[in-house]
Amino acid sequence: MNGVQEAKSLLESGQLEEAAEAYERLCTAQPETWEFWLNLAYCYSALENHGKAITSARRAFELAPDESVTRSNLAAILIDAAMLDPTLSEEQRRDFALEGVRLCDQLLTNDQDNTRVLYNKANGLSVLGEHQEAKKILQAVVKLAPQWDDALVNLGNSLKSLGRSIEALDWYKRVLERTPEHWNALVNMGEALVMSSTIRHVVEDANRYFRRALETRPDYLPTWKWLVHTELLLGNEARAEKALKHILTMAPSDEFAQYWLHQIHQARVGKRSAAE
Amino acid sequence: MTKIFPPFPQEVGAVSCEDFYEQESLNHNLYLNLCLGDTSCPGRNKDWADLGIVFPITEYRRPYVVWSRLIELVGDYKTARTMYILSQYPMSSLDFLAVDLTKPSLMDYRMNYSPYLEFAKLSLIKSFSVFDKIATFLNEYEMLGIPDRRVRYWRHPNQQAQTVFEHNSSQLMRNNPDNMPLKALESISIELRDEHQLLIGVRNSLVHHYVVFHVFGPLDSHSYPLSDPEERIMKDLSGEHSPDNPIHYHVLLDDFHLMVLHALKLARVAVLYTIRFVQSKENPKLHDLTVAPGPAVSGIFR
Repeated sequence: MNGVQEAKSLLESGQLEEAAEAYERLCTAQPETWEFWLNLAYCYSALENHGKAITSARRAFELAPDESVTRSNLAAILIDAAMLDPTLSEEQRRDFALEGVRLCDQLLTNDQDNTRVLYNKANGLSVLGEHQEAKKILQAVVKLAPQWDDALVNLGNSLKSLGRSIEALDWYKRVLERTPEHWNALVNMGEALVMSSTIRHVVEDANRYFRRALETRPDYLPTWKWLVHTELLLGNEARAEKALKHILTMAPSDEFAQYWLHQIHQARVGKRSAAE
Repeated sequence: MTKIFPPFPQEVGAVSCEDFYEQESLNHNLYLNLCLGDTSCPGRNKDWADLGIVFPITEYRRPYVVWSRLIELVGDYKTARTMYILSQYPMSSLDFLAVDLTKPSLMDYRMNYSPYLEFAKLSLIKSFSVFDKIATFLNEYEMLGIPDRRVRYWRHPNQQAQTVFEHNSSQLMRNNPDNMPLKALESISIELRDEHQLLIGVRNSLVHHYVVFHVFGPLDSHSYPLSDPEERIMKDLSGEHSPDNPIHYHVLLDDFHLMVLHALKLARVAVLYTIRFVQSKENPKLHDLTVAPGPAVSGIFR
């Protein structure tokens, strides 16, 4: 098997680290082949190494600026980084999102119904805080691709960012009817429910959604915090305490967990003194 | 299947009006609750919006004003919903209205008079009156001091007039920077301005001029020179109209059906966000120990 086939085979079988190494070697050997840089960018992006993904995608774009795939991939990778890279400063995040949106606009001049590009543009606009425009674009995407779960969830998220949590619920619900364990939809459904009402049965529903989300991704701290929030709203101090202790096993210096454990403890002391 | 407003006499189905009302409301998620059509939710076919508000006694007079406003909003929304559902429910007892009307031949392919269509028009107009009342409520509740005649929830993009959210350099939003329900109400106002110009144009024409409805489309296939909705919107916006060119729209019934339902759904969530807004403003007062808890003006709309 030659190097190109080996790299392709590694990528297709999901061995991303090995595939990245293979494509690194190919890029060193044939630095003018944009396809290698593009695949390398893909590997790094999937490995959440956003910095290297951007560098590789930029190289592919410089080598083949007329290929729409290099432009769209660079846009997607920049916007992904702006959304997901925790090491970025606010200014960097904004710059990446702006550049990504600009590239999307260029692509849309020739292909205005390209749902993937529209979706990326909406994500970029969300990073820039332009949720109203992002919502409008995602509504168009959902019309064009009603089966695309992630687009529906992101439309819900845009609505939620605009405070329109009640409307967001509809979109999460549609996704969960099709894909009951869609983690992102579960977490956001719970959040939107808590934002929409503090009526007991609504909070109980939210609590169930957070628990289901944790079954799929037990390592995601924000879900644990939302779970604590609902347990406290429901008056389940013991359950809240258990969840808080779990948070501290994952993040020992977490201020949220420390604060609320202290509050629960104080409330107990208060109750005991009152009883005595 | 989406029905259009029955333009011609139809047989009354086996479904009673009450059952039809419930089914349509559930299908389109039109009740004022958060059951999302969940059949196991105990209040799925009820309007309940838990206010959970206890007003401090020091504001003894205002709670009743707030309550009056909120109850009126809920009532208006329920009327809009009822009108919509009646527009969908064929009642033989009203068919005589459709067949007895003598109309001159205007040669503009308009459909016959239909009481069901009239219900739909009323639903749309009533949904917009919900928005108007929300704007007036916000003006009073937040004491913005906008004269009544200038209070508005929505506007055309190029109109100089400001919405209640834009008034005085967005005073309302500046006073409540992190209030999500208020942000939601503002977002709906922006959406009406930027994305629903046809809806607003049709509503304004229904109230001030007229709209010509058609059963069959597409409209541009008719030989009569029908108004292009896009062109109509532009004329609305630019104020280019004259007695020879009055503002009116030609609309397909199917499209109108969607417009009415969309406006109704927006009115529904606007009412819920308004209630959440009041909750968010009033509930923190419960923790203010300098004021005694007021009379139990707390409850649930049913």
